[in-house]
This record gives sequence, C-alpha cells and structure tokens, in this order.
Amino acid sequence: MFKFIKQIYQKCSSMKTGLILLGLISLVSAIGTGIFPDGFPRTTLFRLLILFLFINMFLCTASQSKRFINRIHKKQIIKWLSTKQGGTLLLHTGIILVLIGGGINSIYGQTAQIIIKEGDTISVSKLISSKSAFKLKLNKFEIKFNPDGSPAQYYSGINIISEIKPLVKASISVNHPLKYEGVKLYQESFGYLVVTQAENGGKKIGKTIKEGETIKPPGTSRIVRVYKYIPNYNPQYGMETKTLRPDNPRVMFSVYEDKNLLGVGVARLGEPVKIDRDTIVKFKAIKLYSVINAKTDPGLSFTCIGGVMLVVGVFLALFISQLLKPTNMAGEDGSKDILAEDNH
Amino acid sequence: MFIYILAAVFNFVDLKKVSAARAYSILSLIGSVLNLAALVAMIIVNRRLPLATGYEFLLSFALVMVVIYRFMVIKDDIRSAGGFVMLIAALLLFAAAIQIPGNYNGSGPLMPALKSPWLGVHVLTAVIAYGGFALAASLAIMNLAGEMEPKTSSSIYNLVAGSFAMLSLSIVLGAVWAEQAWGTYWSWDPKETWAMITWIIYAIYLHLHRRQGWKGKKADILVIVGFIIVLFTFFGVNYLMSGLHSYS
Ligand code: HEM
Repeated sequence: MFKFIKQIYQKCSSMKTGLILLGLISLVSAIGTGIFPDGFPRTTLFRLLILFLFINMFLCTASQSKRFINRIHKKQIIKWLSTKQGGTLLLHTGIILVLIGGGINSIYGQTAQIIIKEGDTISVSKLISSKSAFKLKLNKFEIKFNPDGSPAQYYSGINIISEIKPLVKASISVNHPLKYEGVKLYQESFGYLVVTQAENGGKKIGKTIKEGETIKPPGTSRIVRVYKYIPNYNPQYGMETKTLRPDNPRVMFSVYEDKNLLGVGVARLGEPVKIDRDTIVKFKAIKLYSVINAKTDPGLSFTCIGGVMLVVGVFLALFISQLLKPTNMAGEDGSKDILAEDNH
Repeated sequence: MFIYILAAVFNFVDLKKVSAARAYSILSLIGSVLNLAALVAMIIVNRRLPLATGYEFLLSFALVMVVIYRFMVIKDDIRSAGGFVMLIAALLLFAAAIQIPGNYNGSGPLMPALKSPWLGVHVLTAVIAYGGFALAASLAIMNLAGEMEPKTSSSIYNLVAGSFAMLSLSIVLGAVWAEQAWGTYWSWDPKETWAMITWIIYAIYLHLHRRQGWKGKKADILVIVGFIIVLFTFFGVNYLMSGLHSYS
C-alpha cells in the first residue's frame, strides 16, 4: 500500500509527467485559439490540465527545494541562489506562484463595467466588493488630441466619495488606472449622448439620447432617431468621422412615420430641423459618457512576486550561467547530483 | 523604398556567398548597415523606438538576428551558417516590404494604449528573443544538413537558453503593461496564447536537452519547430485571428 502511494507520488512529481502536461496544454491552446478563441481557457479540460501541472510542479519543486535546503545550510544562501540550480528553483517556484495567483483571481476576482455620464454619480461598491463603500462621480470626460486630430489620451475626471474618508479628486486615463480600497478602475471606452429638444407651438420636450435611440416630438406622429454623432463631418468620409476631434460636429438622424423611413439628414448642433409642418427638433449639445472597468484581484500579489521570481530565476539559470560558460554543454555542470531522480 | 533595396542586397548576399566569401562579408555588412540606417531614420522621423508596428518590428527583428550572428561568429567561430542567416534576414525584410502599402500607418502618433514605457521594453525583449530563435533555427537547419562543425549543438543550446530568458522577460513585461492598460495581465487573446505555446515548446526543449537522446537531430528538429511557431505567432496570428494585439 505504502509502495503504491509512493509510486503515484513519483509519477505525479516526475519531470516526464510535467513535460507531457506542458505538451498537452500547448496542444489544447493551439486548437483552442482556432476553434473557440474566447472559451477554451474556461473549459474543464484546460482547467484540469493546469491543475495537474500545478500539482506536478508543486511536488517536483518541493522535493527539489528540500534537497536544496539540506545542502545550503553549510554555505551562504546568496552564493547558492546565484548558481544554475538556485536559478532553476527560483524560476519554478515563480511559475507556481503565478499559477496560484491566477487561480485565486479566477475564483475570487471580480470585474464590473461602469457606464457613467458626465455629472452622474454611481455607487461602485454595489457593483463590486471593495474594502469600504464608495461612490464615483464623473465630472468630465475629456479627449486630448494630437495635432493631426487622432486621439492622444482619454481622461475621466472623477471624484471619489467615501463615507469615512475625505473626498478624492482624481483622473483615470488609458495606462493610468486608479487604485482605491482594493478596487482598480480602468479607462475602457466612451460614447456620446445627444441632448435633444423637440418643439411644437408652445409645447417643448427635452431628452438626452444615445446613438440609435429615438425621440417622439409632441404634436406629430413622426419619430426622430438619432443615428450617429459625427465629431468631424466631411462629406467625403460619408457617415464616418474624419477624426474624433469635434472640428465640424454634426448629428445624423432619420425620421419615421408608422415605421416607414421618410428621410435622413445631417444637422449642426443647435440648428433647428423642421420634421413636420409645425414641429422643430434641435440637437442642442453633446454629452459624453465614460466606460470604466472596475476590477479586484486578490491573487495579484502572488502573481507579481511569482513573475519577478520567474524572471530573476530564468536569467540566473539560463542567461548568466550561459554568459559565464559560453561553450559548455548545459546540464553537465554538476546539476545532476541535485536532480538525480529525473532520468526516467 | 529603402527596404526593397535592402532586401535585394541581402538576397544577393546569399547567392554571392557560394562563389566568393569576400563579397559575402562586404555585402552582409552593407546590408546590416542599411538595415540599421533605416531603423535610425525611423527613430528620428517618429521620435520613438521603431517597435510599434509590424513593419518596424520586422526590421528590428532582422537586424537583431544578424547582429547576434556577428557576435557568434567572433565568439564561437561558426561561419558556415552565414548564407542561411542572410536568407532568413532577407525573407523577414521581404515580409516587411509586403506590409508597407496596406499596413504601414506607423509614421503617425501612437494610440493611447501604446503610450507606455512598458511597450518599448516588452517589444524590445521580444525582438531580441525572436532574433535569437531565428538564428538558432538557422543553425539547426545547417546542422541537420550536415554542414556544421560539431560545436554548433552547444551554440544552439546557448542561443535558445538566452532567447528563452528574453522571451520570459518579454511575456512578463507584456503582462505588466496589459495589467495597466486593459486591467488584466493575461487575457488569453490569440497572440498571448501563441506566445505561451512558443514559450512552452522551448521550455520542453530545454528540459529534454538534459537527456542523452535529445542532443542531436531530434533536438534540432524541435528548435526548428519552435521557430515555425514563432513565425506563426508573429504572422499567422496577425492575419488569421483578431485580438487585442491586432495593431502589429
Ligand atoms: C511552464 C513550465 C516550465 C518552465 C518554463 C520550466 C523552465 C525550466 C528551465 C528554463 C530550466 C532550466 C533548463 C536548463 O538549465 O537546461 C528548467 C529545468 C528543470 N525543470 Fe523546468 N520548467 C517548467 C516546468 C517543469 C516541470 C513541470 C517540471 C517537473 C515537474 C520541471 C522540472 C525541471 C527540472 C528537474 C529541471 C532541471 C534543473 C537543472 O537542470 O538544474 N520543470 N525548467
């Protein structure tokens, strides 16, 4: 019985098993990216393979470390760590930590998408768990442009409102997320809202609408759909905007009656558009909304430490030792005594 | 324009090499100097590292490979692979040249997500790794063809080992950048997945290399397969699959 367990243990911790697992993982990934690009990492097969790899590497590295530690108390640790074996050990431990961090993230990590328009306030803690409750107010969404009109950066100017902490004014932009109470907030994208007003005689209604939505003006059976906001209109580009910079803003709209399309038009901001005998529609202004991604990752510290160990380890094991002995065959420089068992 | 001439020069080099070793070394030198000049020109015009578009990447890739090869010639004295190395460099430049008309929008400013110091180091390390893998594969092919000195096997191992370290660094730096820009250090987009596959294949090679049976032909084949996967990661993924990395 004991022998049997020992055999299983040896199989599980052998390098051969590890390599077979690695081969299978790459095979499944290769097929996966072709067949279902979004889904394969979430399939049971793939998760099982990663789990087995984790167990295998954990056992294998644990037994390596044990031998390593047994040897080092005689000499200084730094000197040993800087050898090829030390680097290899560091590298494998790093991979294990990355796997742990990734595992924790896939189980406990959360993400939420926050769509918020200028001037609005949203409770972030209702969407995602944070250390203490807080709300987010979008003061202004701003796009900075390059001289050629292409976007240089997207900024969400925000206030963070907490019940227990002082107000924080901050800005979130691409590549510059904000971390608050364990939640990371990322600039993801943005969109336009059109402030629209419809008027018939004395009757006025106003509505702030998204692209694709409609407004039903008073005193007519016609309906107006805001099809698209075009920040820099140029007839040559048709419905596409020339640049995102609002050099020549227009609103493209269509008018319907009983679901029949009556016509399509392009209007300036504030320009009165007569859509029926006495009915006028104005697209008064543009409001921006920002899409912010909120995320928690309780495994991130494992992943980070693991990543650093991986890189340091790989350089110690492969780069530095290769530079020092450029023409020596690797694996023959005394590493056998530590790893004598993996010659299956 | 520049590049068409360059590619021609490199191609030429390969043909000449057979007949005259001197012509080969002069031409390959001219080739790399032109390659370097093109990159420097791009740095000056765009005021940033030439690593943000597929086209720029290929140019750097070819140069890195040739430069590492020069070092290896000096250090390990392996000359006979020269023609093949030049041929691969020429093919890379040719691929770059094909990209110009449709894909070259690189003279403009970068989109916001690419404006990160991590981008530079991420792509730079990838270029070095790919250059090293390309060279290792060239040597492996020559080895299989039986034209190499016995020392090459260990040169190939050293190259793969060094490039593997660079690739690991590149992947980790890419993850740091993705964490900042997209909020996930790893999102399993096709490019990332194929980079991981590349990484695993070379890891398998490094592990197998410790065994007796895996130092000759079989190992060479694995190195070549690895490089084919590198090429697929670079070209195939860009053209066949869409993902977050589709800009390059
Ligand atoms: C993604 C997974 C892995 C990577 C990237 C990786 C990477 C490496 C590298 C770069 C080396 C050094 C090779 C050399 O010096 O020639 C190495 C050595 C080694 N690896 Fe892995 N490895 C991985 C998984 C595994 C697994 C699953 C096992 C076994 C359970 C394993 C066991 C070993 C052993 C025993 C050595 C020999 C150490 C030495 O030669 O000093 N590795 N690994």
